[in-house]
Amino acid sequence: MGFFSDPLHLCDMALFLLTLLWTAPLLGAGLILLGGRRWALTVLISATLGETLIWLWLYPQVKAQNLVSIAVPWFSWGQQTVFYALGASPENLWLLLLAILLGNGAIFYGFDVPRLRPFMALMFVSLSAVMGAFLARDVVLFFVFYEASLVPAFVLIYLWGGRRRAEAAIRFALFTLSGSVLVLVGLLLGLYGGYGSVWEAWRASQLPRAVVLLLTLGFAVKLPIVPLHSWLGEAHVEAATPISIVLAGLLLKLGGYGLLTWSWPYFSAFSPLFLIGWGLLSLFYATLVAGGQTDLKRLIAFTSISHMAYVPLGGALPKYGLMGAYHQLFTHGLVSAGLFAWVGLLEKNYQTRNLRLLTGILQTHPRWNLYAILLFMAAIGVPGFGLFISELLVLWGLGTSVGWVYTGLAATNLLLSALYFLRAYQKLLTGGFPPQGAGLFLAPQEALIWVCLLLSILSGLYPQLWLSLLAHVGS
Amino acid sequence: MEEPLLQAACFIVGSVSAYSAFYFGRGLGLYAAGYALILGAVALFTLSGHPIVRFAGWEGVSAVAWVLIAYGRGATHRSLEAAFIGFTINRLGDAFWVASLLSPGWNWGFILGGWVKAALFPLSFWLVQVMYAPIPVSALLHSALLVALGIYGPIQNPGWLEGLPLDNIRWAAEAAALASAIGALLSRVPKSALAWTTSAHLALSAAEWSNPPLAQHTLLVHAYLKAALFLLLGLAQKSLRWSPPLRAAWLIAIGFLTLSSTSAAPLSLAAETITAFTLARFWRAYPYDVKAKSLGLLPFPLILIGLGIFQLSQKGFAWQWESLLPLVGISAGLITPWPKRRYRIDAPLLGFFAQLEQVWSLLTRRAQKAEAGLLILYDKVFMSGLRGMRRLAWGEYQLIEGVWRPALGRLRHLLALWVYPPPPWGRTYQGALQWAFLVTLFIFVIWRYFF
Repeated sequence: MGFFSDPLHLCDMALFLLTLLWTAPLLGAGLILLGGRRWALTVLISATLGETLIWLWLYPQVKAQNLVSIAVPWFSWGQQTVFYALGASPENLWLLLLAILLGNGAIFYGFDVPRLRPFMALMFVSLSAVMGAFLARDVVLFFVFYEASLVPAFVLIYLWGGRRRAEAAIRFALFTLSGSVLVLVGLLLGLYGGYGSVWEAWRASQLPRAVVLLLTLGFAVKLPIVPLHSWLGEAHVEAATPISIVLAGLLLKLGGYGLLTWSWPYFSAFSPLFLIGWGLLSLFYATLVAGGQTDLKRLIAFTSISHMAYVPLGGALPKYGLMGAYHQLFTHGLVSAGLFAWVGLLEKNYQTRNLRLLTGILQTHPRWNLYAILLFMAAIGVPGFGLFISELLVLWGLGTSVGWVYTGLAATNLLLSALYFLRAYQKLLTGGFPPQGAGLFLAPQEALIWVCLLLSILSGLYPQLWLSLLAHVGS
Repeated sequence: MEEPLLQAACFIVGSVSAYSAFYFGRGLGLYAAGYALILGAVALFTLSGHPIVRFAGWEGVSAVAWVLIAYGRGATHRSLEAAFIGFTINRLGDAFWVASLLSPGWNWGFILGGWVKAALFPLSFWLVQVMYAPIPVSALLHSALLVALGIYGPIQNPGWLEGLPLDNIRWAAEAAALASAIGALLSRVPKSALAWTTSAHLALSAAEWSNPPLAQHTLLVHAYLKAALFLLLGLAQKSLRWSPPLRAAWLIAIGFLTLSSTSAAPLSLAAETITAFTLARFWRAYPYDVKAKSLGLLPFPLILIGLGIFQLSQKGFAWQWESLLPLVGISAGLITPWPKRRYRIDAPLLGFFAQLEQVWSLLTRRAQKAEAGLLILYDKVFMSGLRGMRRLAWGEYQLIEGVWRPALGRLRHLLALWVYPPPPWGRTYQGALQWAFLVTLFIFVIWRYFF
């Protein structure tokens, strides 16, 4: 869409609305500092509704023309011009919805944290950066937002975390900043190599191996892929639950999105078998580590690493694999957020996340049992849930591209993921004496679990809604 | 679209649902939902042409079966364990199955996946374990809604068998049938024995994969009659008595089930004879009581027997002398007492499964150690980086304090000496003031003159 040749001024509208999509949370961050709790809730609801309406405006446009974008020159040096380029496309449209729902949902979930307003302000800033990174269609702009998302996350873990929050926050910062340095160096090498920074130019370029390697390693820290994952377990365990939701639901996805969009658009620098091997290593290692966990949050953290391994697996493949990888970013975001929300409420009631101390708690709480069954089934990838479609697409990509051996190996994880989730469920349902909690009342935070579950089921029962758009990724 | 297995599944679910309404005192909602979902999964598998949708059906039956088995008796440790074994072993088969489904040209996965799903020996142990589920649930899972899918896949899609050594598969299936029949013979728990016979009958159907219409025929007859047998056994178990109509219905069902067998191969015939013998011996599993009442629920299994006989009549019965052998087995079984001791021929496999889980636990512990080591390594790397930064900072401090600060002090001193040199009249207050005045005047004159 030409910027100045648009008779309906749709482009102006796009400029305004796409900008509003990432600035609205920033505006919210400022506004909530002006009032009390009720005002903060009003701002949160207004921001969520506003962003959702913008998304609903974007959806038919992207469906019809595959892209809504704007590009305004930002700054330049030499021959290189960096654009303030934003856009909604099949690659990011569903991730934008995920950010709107999970970002605002996590803020709502954390409505009872101490020091609410600074917490909300930081969460809004984090959401704004994530939205900006998803929207950016210029690699420099993407990097700016990508970096900006680290700072509030670090402060949130540092200030609202558990007993060892400082250690976890510093480890998070060291790892992710190291990753960012790699991304920055790769990006600068690319730019000085004369490759254009805007989406089309960057993705059309045959980037040198060094650039792809640096970007891949940098984003792999954020995704994370084994062995660059060590920050995640501690960060999840020590972070407050709303931050875990954002971390697993959005920030990890930022790494995956970076890999799929900026690092491997037309992947030819490396053999796909290298990536597939790396993905399989990550898949099995994280599964094994998850199998031995007794802390529910750590268990979910490692299952996240295991599930995220489908992103490099799918990203290395054409068509179905790539579709599956993008779909996985969305569906796993929902499942992991739902699981963290559920564990957070358990922890709130029983002051522990230890499986050995929580034996039998589901016996007397049918509603919580229902959540556990549905969320665990969704995470195992049972038909009817979105993750099933994502993983099947990746497996299909593997089968049609590299053969049954790799499909079989990756499919073995279907069995292994069932092992640790069902064992954890058995512990929660049977045996022992349930600890005395404050009573599992109907908490408003449960709304987030329902949203995640309903969307997960919708994406599993009617995946066409997603796949009709994702069919255009990479094109 | 006519789908024989789906038709059979609908009839069986209908009968079992009605039976369940009377059989279970409470909690019928869960069963009704489970039955509907499992039927939906079978419909997905049988009706869809899309591989992913078919796999959804294939996996869906396992997932719903997990719920039905786990909650069938109120989510006890034992029922959850049974459901766990059933689900995980099925998932192992699913991994093979999906590898074939999504990798054109490699068809072994269909056979291996089907072998697991249909619980053919030696992978039959999970089916015996899930016998902890209530009778109506077992009736569904053993007839047309779980295990039958493993056999039905290659029947519906003969292309899946392309390039495979069918003679070897047939031989393996017959051997599996014989082993399962022996397992049934040695079993003392009635439900377990019945589960073993399911494994044997399905293996006999699998042996006919090279002739899909025949395999489908035996599979469907088995589905109806096995569901009926389970429901009849449930009635006998409920009162721990055989009433006369129950016994008669049982005999009719096993008689027609035996007649559905068509193979004259020695292994098949032996398996069929031993299975018939075991099923007939059920007459002696519970005492016979002419006054026992069970007529209330009897119509439901009778409907299924009727449907089984109708299915059998569709193909007709070709008499052969070999068919006498299973009938002799039935006659012998009717007069043989129920065994006192129990042998499980799949005990080594169960032990192997337990060993596998131990290996899994060991691997998870090792992985945790590796993870802790990795974390320490990263911490060391980062800490050495931080130490390096600290050293740099210390060096910088030394540079500032040891070199730059003294140098700057000396420079300042020299400047001071230059700007305020010691006057010839000595360091008095007035002298310094005069000197300062002269210097300032000098600077002022220069500034005015030049600027």
